[in-house]
Amino acid sequence: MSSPNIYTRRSFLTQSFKTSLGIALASLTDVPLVVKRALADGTIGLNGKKLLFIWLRGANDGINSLIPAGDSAYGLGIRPSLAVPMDTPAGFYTTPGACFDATQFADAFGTPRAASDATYSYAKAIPTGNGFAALHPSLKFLAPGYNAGHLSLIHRVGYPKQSRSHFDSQNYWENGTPNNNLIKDGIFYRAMVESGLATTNPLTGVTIQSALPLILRGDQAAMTNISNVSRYALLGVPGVAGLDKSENALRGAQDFLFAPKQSRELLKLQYANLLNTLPLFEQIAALMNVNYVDNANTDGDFPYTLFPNSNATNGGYVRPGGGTDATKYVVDTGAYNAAGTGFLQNLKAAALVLNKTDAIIAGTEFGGFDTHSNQGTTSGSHPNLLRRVGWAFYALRKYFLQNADRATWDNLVIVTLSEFGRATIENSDSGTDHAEASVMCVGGGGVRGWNGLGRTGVFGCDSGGSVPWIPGPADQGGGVNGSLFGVGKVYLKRAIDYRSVLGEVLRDHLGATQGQLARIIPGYANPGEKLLSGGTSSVDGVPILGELNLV
Amino acid sequence: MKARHCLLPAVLFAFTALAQPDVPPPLSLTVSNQTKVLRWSPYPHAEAYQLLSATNLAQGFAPDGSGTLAPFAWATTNTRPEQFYRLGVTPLGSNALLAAQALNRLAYGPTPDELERIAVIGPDAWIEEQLAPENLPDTLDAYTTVVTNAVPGDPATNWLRVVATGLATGTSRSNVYVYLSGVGEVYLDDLKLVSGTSPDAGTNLLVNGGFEAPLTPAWSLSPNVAGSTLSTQVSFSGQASLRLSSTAPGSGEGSALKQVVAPVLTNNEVVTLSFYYLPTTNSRLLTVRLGGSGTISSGSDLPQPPAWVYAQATGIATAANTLYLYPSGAGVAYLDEIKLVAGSQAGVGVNLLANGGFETGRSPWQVSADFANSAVVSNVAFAGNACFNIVASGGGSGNGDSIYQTGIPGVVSGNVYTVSYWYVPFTKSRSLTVRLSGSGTAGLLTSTPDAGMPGLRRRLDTRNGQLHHLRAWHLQNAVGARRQLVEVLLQFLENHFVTEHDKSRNYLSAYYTDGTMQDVLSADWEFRENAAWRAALLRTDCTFYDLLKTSAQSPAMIVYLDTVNSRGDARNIANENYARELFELFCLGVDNGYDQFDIVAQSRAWTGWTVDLLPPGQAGDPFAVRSTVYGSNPGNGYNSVSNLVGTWNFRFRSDRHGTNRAPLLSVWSTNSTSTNLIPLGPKLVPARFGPPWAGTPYQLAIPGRTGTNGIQDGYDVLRHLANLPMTMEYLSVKLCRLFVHEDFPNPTTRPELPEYAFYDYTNPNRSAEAELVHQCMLAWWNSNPRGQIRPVLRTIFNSELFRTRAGVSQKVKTPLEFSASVLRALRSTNSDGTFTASTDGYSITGTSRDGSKAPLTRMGNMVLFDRDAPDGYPEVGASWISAGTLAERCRFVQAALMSATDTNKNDGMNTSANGNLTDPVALLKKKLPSASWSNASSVATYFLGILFPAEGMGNLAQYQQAAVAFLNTADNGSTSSPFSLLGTTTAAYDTRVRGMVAMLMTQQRFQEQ
Repeated sequence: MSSPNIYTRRSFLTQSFKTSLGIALASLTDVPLVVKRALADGTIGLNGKKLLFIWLRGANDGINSLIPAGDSAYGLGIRPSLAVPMDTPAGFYTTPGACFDATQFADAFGTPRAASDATYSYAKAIPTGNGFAALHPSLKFLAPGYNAGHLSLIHRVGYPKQSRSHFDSQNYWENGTPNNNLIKDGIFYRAMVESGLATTNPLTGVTIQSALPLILRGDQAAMTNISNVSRYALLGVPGVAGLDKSENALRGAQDFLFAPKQSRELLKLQYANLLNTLPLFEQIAALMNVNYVDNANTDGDFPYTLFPNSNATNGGYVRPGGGTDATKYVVDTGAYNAAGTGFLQNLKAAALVLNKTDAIIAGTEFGGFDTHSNQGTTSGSHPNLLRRVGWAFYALRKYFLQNADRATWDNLVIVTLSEFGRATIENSDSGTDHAEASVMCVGGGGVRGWNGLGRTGVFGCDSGGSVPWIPGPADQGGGVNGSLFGVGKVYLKRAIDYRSVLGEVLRDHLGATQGQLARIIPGYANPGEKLLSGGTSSVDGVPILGELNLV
Repeated sequence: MKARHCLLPAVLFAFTALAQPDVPPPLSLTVSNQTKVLRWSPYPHAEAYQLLSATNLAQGFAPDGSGTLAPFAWATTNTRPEQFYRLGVTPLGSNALLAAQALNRLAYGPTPDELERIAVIGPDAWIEEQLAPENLPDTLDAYTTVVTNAVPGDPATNWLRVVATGLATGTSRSNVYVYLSGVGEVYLDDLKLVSGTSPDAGTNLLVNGGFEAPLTPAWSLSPNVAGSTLSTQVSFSGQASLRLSSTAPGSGEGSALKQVVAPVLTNNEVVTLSFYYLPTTNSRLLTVRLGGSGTISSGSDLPQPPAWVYAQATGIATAANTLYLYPSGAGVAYLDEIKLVAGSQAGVGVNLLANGGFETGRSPWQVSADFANSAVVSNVAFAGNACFNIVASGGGSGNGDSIYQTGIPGVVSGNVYTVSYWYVPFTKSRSLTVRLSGSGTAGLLTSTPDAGMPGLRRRLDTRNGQLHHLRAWHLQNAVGARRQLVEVLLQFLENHFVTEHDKSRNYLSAYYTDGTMQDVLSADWEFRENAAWRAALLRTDCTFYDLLKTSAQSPAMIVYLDTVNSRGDARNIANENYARELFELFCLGVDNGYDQFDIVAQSRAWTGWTVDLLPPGQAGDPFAVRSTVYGSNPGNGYNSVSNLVGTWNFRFRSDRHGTNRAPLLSVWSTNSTSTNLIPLGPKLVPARFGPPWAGTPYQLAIPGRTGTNGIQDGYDVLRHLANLPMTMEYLSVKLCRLFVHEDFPNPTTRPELPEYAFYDYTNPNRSAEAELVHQCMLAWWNSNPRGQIRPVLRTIFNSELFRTRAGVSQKVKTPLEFSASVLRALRSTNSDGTFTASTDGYSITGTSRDGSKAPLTRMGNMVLFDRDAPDGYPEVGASWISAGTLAERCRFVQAALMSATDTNKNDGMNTSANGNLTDPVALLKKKLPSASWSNASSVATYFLGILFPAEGMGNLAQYQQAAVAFLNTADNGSTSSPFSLLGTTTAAYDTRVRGMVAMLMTQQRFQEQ
């Protein structure tokens, strides 16, 4: 039991298995044993700061999300059917300033939007104002938050020796240890353990989705996953009459003794979590029925529902006076469902959990980003997914600005995660295959974004800095590969490690100490990885930017 | 008394066969006043505990009767100053342990009946049964059909119309040819050729197209059709039709029935050809076309011969003596030889019905308004000379809305009867219900074969099933099939070679606007994969290559992983999706012997692998072109795919196949790019594999091929990958995770990763897990033909890891395993053929395509046949267990255990009623002597034994106490209400037992397998 690795902590394994893995996992012994440390330092969970994460599963095409408009190589040459068209006003993409706000303007010349305009009628790349990068038009609802200075967009995010397997790469993002599948607990789980509250508070880390993700899994404390807040109760037999009897019998049996087995610690923790958290969600279930709406005329129209749960509440679909106009949807109709478990319903519940309980981290996910075929350019599958991202940030910002209770907008950070990006060059199916670096979005009242005074909210997609974006095709001007051809001529090379982004948020926002951070993200304990300061990674020799001073 | 006087760690082992815990359970002692309490930790799978003591070690230990045994504790007030104590454990017998393991892993959980049977025949014999499923009857999945040509069907309804529109071009554009593809006969009538696109508008340009007059002179006959004659026996309209009789295949001029249209058609004139035809038992593909290059080809699938289906049901009669027949909706069916007999043997004994063979007209059968057009017909019969033709204008429901016979003599309320009949099912998705009158309570004699298992299977077989039908069928098999291991393996394969119904549907939506059609065709792809795997698994020499090939050729896979539009011709860049997952997920495992450049190289082999609507009779020909055979029900226009007849299947398009090849599984130059692969030599099997594999090269060079030969590139890849050491290893690992426990990490060929050393087969100290994988690989490798599945499975089932506590109870059930096991745990066969627990399937998987509101969706989004990510559903418990999913699991159990009339039972499912039916009281009354029915302890003990057979009664003592307390408490949870005082036929008794069983099934231990 002394060998500090994930397998030997577990008591069910046979001696031979343990012995063998003890040898096998010798290289992991520098991974600290989080759970046995003293929980004295840091202010995670004590300072009111909260974190909301959204997992974009399937590998988001970062190149068509945050578009390198200033790179001449981006265009029909590499993406004959997928290149997002550019607008033509002179200097539109190169003039510094605020992000062009297509929720306010109908065209690039500043014509105000009219209520009759279709929501996504502006179908060109949207300049962010950093002189180089542009948003996909489906992300237009990011602009208000960006221009408020509360959003950062980070391009070329990855990790050393990037895996192009969804499942490995998702594991690495979630367990915080690239190229190691044997760490079976998650980066946010460890952050919650470091808070010292994970075994005392019923809610610390919470997801609202079909299953508890690895990022919140661990075997010493239970994080909470709820798939449908409205159904989070027992039935009893027979029905209500026997509910107390059933529930009490269940509670009474939780501490019964059984011989150790592989699954039993997990079951014990999660059953306890179930029975401890059942009462906490009654209020949230009731609030799920509240229709939160924008406090301003959305999109030049009237105030929209922030978390649509039906076609009728989706953007301007139902016009004042009862008319209908499907071109006014803010999200695709797959973003919610009748069962109450769609993305926007889950997002709403996650927001409510952060706002109404002591939970510190909450998150949800949606998939569909594995766009190998018929990806869509300004409409179609990928643009629809991006609409959800853009609207999620808009809706969350408005919700927390208007309804803050235990979580204020200023105390909140929202991050997106996605396991890797997609090839710069499209394939024969009008789709893109697996590649390397992609984009992260970091938003919230505590985020230091664009300030109109020279600071922009875009990182990794500009031609300056220590790891600049290099425009142009390969081998142009003295053998320099353009960034779009950085690896194998079709992959974007990373300039920022996802752990630097999450690390900074965990320390400077949530309140971890640097010592805690080194336990939450083992890479920080290795100065050679340059996660803090930036520089050339000792793992693979690739230069990275380090932390970005995001929060 | 001081602790040192106790022999704390001493444990008496009274068993031999099992691998035992390394450390005996520790004992602790507390002393307060005069009470001594000894406590211990549970010992795995303990059947009983006993306290022994000795005052003098030299005299040995003897059972100590001075104290009382409580769960994991023993208390005594014995005041003797010195005493040595020892804990005795009677472990669960090794056969009982293996039986529980086998029923939990090779099956979807134990059933009461199987627990009894396996105790008799022994677990090894039971496992051997499952390993030879071809010898196991599986009546559940089989339905009886008799294909007979003695039943030609109703001519008026079997005439099929073909309409085709096209251009008349070329010099022979006015020649009309009619011929068959081989030796055979077909009837043809009302052949019309009109100008324009409407078959029914305009003058028929053909002379004698109705074949009412002799064939000459307008028609001329080539020698191969010279035997054709007019038939006045059969016609679509008028008095006659053409009986086209062919002695050799036709093709056009010189080998067909021919007429030259006069005056000749204008060049490029749009014309429409239409006709009716009636196939015979000796039909061949019929073509009617114009000459010239702008031909119109038409014809049709051979229709399915009429199939008589046998159905039977046994049940209990209630008061009234009326038998009702009714379909669920409008349609046509045939019924014959309906018999109602006393007892449970179909057709044995006197038929209580009058005129069940419909040989003497309709009487005494009566029909209500919806069925007024039904009649006895004499041209169709299963037996005798007539049958009953059910013609329904709407659905029926029973009394007042059905076909019925009343006043049946000899029917006694409460007695068991069996009904049986033969019928030709409705062509549409209609079910036929046959039942005795009554209020619809359990046990009533009701036969609805089309709605039940045989109906689902038949619906899927005939390409009429939607996804929710397929899922319901899958679940009914999981719960009820005897070939349980086959069902477990089919789910494993479906999940390993994962595909997504929704993506298929989306693909087909380009061709069909009818959402049901999209659903049906996509479900058919899933079903055909499943059927092919099932057939393979029933062969003794089934290999992994067989299974892999089925997956690769499946339209569902070709669409799912995007080879369907992948092109390698010209400057196109092949789609990498399938190539990547073939390495990563289907064969070698991630990072286990390939790299990105191998993916690029492999992706080119799959270019041109697409799917298409292939013509009738050519569904298995990957070189066939898209069907041009028009169906009889025009859809979106004459040139629409939705108007074509054929089968969607794998098609290889050599025009899209790339020739840019590099040998895959090479060592690649670092100067390689995705567009310029530079191989330096073969990859070698890493050292950790040991003999006979280590160091062997495993590069695959694909020869230059042209044209249709390019299809071989893909098969080369499959054949090569199927038996690579890394593939054997990865598949063995996955099977071990399925059957043993989840902690078999993914193997890798990257030496810097710890998993490399874990699976080092040259290490003499390798773990039992690594050794089991190694043994599986050897079994795979040494089988002949190589790659057989059964030897690998046998290796696992014979392993210590599988058979002992190292494997038993280590896993958490997936939502599918959990829900099926809930039903199975209470499922015993009644003497009347019904069960004490059953499911309609839909109540687990839902009645909608997206599975919304279905328990499997709620318990973790396990939507069968519709996984969006290609890694399949996880085998790891942590992926399934969270507070939210546990709440849903508890709700599922509680709803399933509610009585059928409980208002909460449906729990918001999107089924009309919860079809997860359980009757634990009926079960206990079957299995326990009546003297025990009111004994709370006996009742609790029985259910503990069937719900937790692997645990050992010694470790279930706390559950036992809780169950007894539950039985002795009223529904409010606080008032004492002795179980022994409840009448065993009362609702209170029923509810008490249901609640107690639900309570046990919502416990942690029932989540395990």
